[in-house]
Amino acid sequence: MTGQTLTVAIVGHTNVGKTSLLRTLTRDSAFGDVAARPGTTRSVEAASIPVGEGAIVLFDTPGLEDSPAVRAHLQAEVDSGQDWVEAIAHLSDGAAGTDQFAQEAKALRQVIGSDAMLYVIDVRDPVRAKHRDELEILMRCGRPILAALNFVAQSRDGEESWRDTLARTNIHAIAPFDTVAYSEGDEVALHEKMRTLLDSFAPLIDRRLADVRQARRAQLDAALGTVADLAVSLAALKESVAVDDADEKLIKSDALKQAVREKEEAVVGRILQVFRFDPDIYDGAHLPLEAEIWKIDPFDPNVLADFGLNTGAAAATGAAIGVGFDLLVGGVTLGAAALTGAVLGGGFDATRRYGRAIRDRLTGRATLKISAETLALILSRALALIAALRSRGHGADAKLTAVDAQQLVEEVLPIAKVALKTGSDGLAEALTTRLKKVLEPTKN
Amino acid sequence: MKRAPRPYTACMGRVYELGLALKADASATDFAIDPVALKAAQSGDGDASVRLERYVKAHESAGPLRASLDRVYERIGFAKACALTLAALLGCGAAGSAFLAGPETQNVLNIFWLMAALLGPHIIALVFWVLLLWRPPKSSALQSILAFVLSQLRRLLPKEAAADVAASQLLTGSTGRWNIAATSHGFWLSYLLAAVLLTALVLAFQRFDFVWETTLLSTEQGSALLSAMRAPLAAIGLPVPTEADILAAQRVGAALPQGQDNQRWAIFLIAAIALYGVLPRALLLMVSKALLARAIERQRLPLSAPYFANIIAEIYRAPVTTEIVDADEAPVPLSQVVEAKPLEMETINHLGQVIGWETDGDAVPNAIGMTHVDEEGPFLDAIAKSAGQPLAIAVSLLTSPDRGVARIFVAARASAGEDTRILLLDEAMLAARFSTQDARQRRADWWSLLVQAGFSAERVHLMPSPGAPK
Repeated sequence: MTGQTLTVAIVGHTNVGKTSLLRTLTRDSAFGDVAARPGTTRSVEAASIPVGEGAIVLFDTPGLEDSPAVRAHLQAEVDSGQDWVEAIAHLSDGAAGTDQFAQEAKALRQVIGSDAMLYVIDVRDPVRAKHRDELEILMRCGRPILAALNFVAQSRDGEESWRDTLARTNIHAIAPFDTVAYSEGDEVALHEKMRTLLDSFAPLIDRRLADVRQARRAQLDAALGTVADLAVSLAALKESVAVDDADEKLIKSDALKQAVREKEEAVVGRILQVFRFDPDIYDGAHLPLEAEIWKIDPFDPNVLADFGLNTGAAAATGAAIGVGFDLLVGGVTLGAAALTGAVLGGGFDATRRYGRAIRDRLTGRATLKISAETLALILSRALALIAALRSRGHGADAKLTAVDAQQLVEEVLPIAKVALKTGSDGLAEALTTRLKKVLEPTKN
Repeated sequence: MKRAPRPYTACMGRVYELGLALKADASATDFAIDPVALKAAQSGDGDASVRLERYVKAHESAGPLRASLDRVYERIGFAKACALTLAALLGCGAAGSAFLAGPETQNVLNIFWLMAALLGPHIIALVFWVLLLWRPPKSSALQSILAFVLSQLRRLLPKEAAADVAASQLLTGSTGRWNIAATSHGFWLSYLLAAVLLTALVLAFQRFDFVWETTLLSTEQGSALLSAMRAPLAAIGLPVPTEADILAAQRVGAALPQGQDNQRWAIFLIAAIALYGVLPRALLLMVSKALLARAIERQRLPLSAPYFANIIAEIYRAPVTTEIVDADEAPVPLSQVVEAKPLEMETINHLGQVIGWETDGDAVPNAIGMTHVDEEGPFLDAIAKSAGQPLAIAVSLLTSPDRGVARIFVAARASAGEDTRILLLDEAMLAARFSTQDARQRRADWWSLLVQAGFSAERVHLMPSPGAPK
């Protein structure tokens, strides 16, 4: 496998998602130009993915816009005595003297120069005569063909007729691969199909598959770890305020909210970076921390209640301003600890954990900190964002709007409570594991 | 002489510590990747663990952190040496307390006192250690105390990342367990060895009489205890005191035993301390060291820890390179955006023959006859056959207005009459599939294609989608 290079030409009709497929395979949403207009890709552009000491090089080609005319031209050449491969080579060399087919010649030139081709299909489009002409030309190029069915997540209505047409053209290596709604399973299947076509490149493709899987795992771990770190750092945010000083409470609670927002924003940025998406995939210039974008204000008790989060206790202790006072909670827990023995170690523990609360009570002050419900909501939407990004292809150009965090909140609330209660250095790793179970319950 | 730094070994020891030191040294909020180390990790083969180790070793902070680790371990090594010296001094002191110099010519060695001073604390500590090992404390109270003690020990080290890592290695987890065990056994081994050596030295150059006395035990019990202790020594062939020697050595009142075989007693004492003290401690030290080495060898950087997971994600972020290999310098001009007019109801009701290019189904409900064609020849034939009749050509906006379609519509215009209408279908589906801007551009591209093909702009219409408000 050392030093092996596999070259694959990405071909197909115009506007079927060839460049988008390349973007998704390379995880590079900036690759090439994508538009709903024909002729967007007019040059052949290569993307080289390093695989160990070797590489897989994908060539994005211009769309085959006028395959009926190209086929007629080639047929005329064949009728005049050339075989198909010679006729195609003649056309792709530009020797045929037909500027009319300059774009098709580029695509065919690349097909002939590659080890294989990936024929991209928009399954939402019915099979037309022009598609049959394309397939006729491509199957005459003497290169293995793998058909990628794009946009299958939107509709699979046309898939059967496409499969039937491909089978009639003797193309049996077919893999669904949606460039917008990404599926790791589909990417694996695509590579496996390619491996069956190109057995001499099997080690290289296997290595690429291993890299893809490892990268996906690492991305998830990194993103969840970032969320776990956020949980720990938000749990550590505390402000001491005088119980009787309303102005100080207001100022410091605002400062606390701002700190929470800034930390969440930084984490959202990092998650996007981990999954290799730009912040501009969102509507609006700001990250989704504003209520009008997310439709959720994590500091609003009514919103929390809508999410099934009971803010009763927190409201009684100051959650009307969005964060809870820890004083009562600390006092009650300390009392319970004393009743259950207050052994020496318990005393150590309680002093370490509640020393500040006791001191605050004696001095007429209270500790202002984020409530478990608010923390749960922030963590839930970070998880929902991760879930959304994991199933988003880099070929997607639609903006990402609000993500659905509601179904996760209930499971995340206990994790938020652990973060607020424990607050130790090694907590982030444990929280990462628990968050992963929420996101991928069947895999753990 | 400066000691050479401990070598890196794959997957263990220093790489692990170095990785943790990097993690501890990194800012929690500002995640930064070392590009040189990243390149080293990305090049070559290996799984995530191996690549992460390459990253750690190549990191720009690896050198300074490694030096810090060396400094911390030197300091810890010095502290251990001090502890061993202290243990040796304590052992000498404990042994010395059993030797009683007589007022005149006769020196006396209290057998039970020597045994109790040397083996007693050692056995109590050993039992305590075994209990801790067998049943580690689970109560949060005890753990809190231990955590407090460990945190106090940590304060003895400098406040730097390397010290945190070293403290974690030496005091916590599997390595901590066996390091504390090895240190403890080393301490007692030093204590006992020093005591044995002192005892041997004293007995080598001074004559002592051996006595034993007890208040708590009876004569029979004291005698039985000594008999039990000598049995294993006798079994290996060492000269040990007989039953008669044991009974004779009991001190009753101020009288001292007469006619003792002192050499037997001296050998017995030294051998007993070696067998019951030095030997088990030396064995336990070796076992603990072996288990510590195994624990270190099994250490792997926690790949799912947030800091390392971020690095691995960067490592696997394949550095894709792109280049244009077959350029086209002529960009596609943007079509002038001119919207086609919606078709009015009266017109729809009076449509004649409709030929659909790449259309399906009942796309134009009020057409007298609708033909669907997707091949150039039949399409042009159908247009030619409708000459002299009102004709409309329907096309889906979902069809890409590409060069091939443009060529066919130029040919179609040549056959079609001046009054041929063009119906643009599927506007609703277009809106569902594309963004507003892209859908608008698609309509404009179709309009532009048709006008350039020679169709009258006035006769290009958007066909209302079925169910759309009229």
